[in-house]
Amino acid sequence: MIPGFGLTFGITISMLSVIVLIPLCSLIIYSAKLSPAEFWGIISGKRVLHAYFVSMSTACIASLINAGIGLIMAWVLVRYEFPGKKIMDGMIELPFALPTAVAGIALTHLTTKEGWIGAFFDRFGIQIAYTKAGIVFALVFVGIPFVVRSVQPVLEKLDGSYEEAMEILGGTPAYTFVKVILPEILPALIGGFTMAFARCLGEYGSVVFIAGNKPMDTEIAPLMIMSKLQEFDYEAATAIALLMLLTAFVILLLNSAFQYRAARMVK
Amino acid sequence: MEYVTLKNINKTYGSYQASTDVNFSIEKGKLVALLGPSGSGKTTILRMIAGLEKQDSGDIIINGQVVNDLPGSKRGIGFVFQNYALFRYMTVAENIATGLKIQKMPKKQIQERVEELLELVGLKGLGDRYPNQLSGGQRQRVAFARAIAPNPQLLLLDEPFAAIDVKVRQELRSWLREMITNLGITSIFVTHDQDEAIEVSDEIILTNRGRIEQIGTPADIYANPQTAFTAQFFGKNAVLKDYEGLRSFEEVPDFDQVLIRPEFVRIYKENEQQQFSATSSPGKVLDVVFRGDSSEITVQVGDKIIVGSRSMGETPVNVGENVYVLVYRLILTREEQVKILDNYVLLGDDVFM
Repeated sequence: MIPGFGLTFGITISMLSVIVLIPLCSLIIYSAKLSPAEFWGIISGKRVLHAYFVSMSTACIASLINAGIGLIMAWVLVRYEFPGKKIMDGMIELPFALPTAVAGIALTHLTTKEGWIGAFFDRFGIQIAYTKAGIVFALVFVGIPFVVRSVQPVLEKLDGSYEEAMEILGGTPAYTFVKVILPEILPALIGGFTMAFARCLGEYGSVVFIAGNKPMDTEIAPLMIMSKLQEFDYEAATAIALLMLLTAFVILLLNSAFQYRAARMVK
Repeated sequence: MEYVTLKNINKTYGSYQASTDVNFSIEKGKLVALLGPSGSGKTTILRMIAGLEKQDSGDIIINGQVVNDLPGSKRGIGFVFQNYALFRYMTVAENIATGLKIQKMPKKQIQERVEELLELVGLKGLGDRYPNQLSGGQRQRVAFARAIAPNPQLLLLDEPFAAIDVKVRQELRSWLREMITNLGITSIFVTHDQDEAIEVSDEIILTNRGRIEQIGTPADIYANPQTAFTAQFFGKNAVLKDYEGLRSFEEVPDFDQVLIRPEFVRIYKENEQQQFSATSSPGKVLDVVFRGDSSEITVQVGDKIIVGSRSMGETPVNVGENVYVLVYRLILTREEQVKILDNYVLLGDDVFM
């Protein structure tokens, strides 16, 4: 074994405990103050269930959109040379750097009926701000770097000879993409999708402004947690959070299982 | 009959001239090596024939048809990539079947053809494996099977042995040679390894700096270099400034260098009987290096250092020993030109190779 395992593993476990495990345990301990019936009552409340539904569905749609757009952006950044490429590459991470509340306000401003984007869609009778479409819009903004940054390195490493081999065998570009390129980048694409999805599920700052937070319509799960906290109902807040945590955990677990399988195939 | 012809091919990448006035023809059924140092433009030539690169000017003719504007898939070629480029998420059988599927061959026929090819390349029963479950040599066989599956008339191979370890390489060389000879498919392979080219090919096209230096059979190109580059590229030459003191060579007034191949040198011990004592020169052994089946012997003759060899069957020579050195042939170079000088005493005798 490489020396230093004891020390580095110790540091890893300590840090993981301090920043991940202990806070998560406190969630469980807090919600354990509730009886199972109370717990069930909170998480199966109509308003809470609807908020879950909104969070899940918007996060899912936004991440699917991100998977598509992110793939195209990564493709453009890897495969083409154009002026301003470096700047564009640097801009990908801006959603990470921007305080989400600022992004939320900016996006809301853009998508109301008076905003540039909102005004355009208003002509077709489509409203973005204060609807689920608005939530999706904000989540696309927040999640895009995850997909681009997972797919980009894989595309960069992808040897051009695969495509040339297909070209000589007579494959069209579309056939080559489906049969050769997509399988190569699929693990990264799914990885990026999962991370974006997990992030979107918990996204609060950028969404609260654009969502309008109408009960039974555009209320998201993190908002339900916030409102419970504001009522000092910590147990209820943690109960809702716990379920979200479980969901995220399952999604990430599924992703690792898939990544493991894909990695074994090409090891 | 000529199957592939390149006429006045030029190719540049930006300011870099990758091919300059390349002309050659390859006969049907021949196995040809494109040989040259890295950066000599050999891979560019192969890729232009495959349609992966387009020449700036000149014509590529395959089977009597100018294919300049034809995509690679319509040129009737198979291509084996240096890294094999096997599709990692497809099984071996799927890899081999790819070209046939694209041609919309009926499923049953594809299956039969794949089985036939798996058997041909000695991978029967491994069709369900993924490329990463195979050894380097097996992967190359899959790449070969995939390339010949659609029955191409011309097979192009880019450094086919570069990625394989030395021991398997030898075996694969003979395997590939046998395969190609049996199939009778015209083949061109790129290599930077002179031994590989000499051993495997019917004909060698030697490239240097985007130009063709010489074309010929391995034996011819080895023994009769026509350019200074060719002379220096092949063999382990001793390079001398002049050949004073070496007996029985005609005098040539003007040259840059003298090359002596170990194959054209014989070293005798002082007490050994020899026919040509009058033409050999006395020397002193400077170094003896054991090479397995023979010993490489470095000898000082006058002010010259000459390298020759003695086989293991002969009595060994020792460092410091006085010996006689007989040189059969000198290669003189002058700028790009070459002059071959044979030892005139030995002319007519079948002494080399």
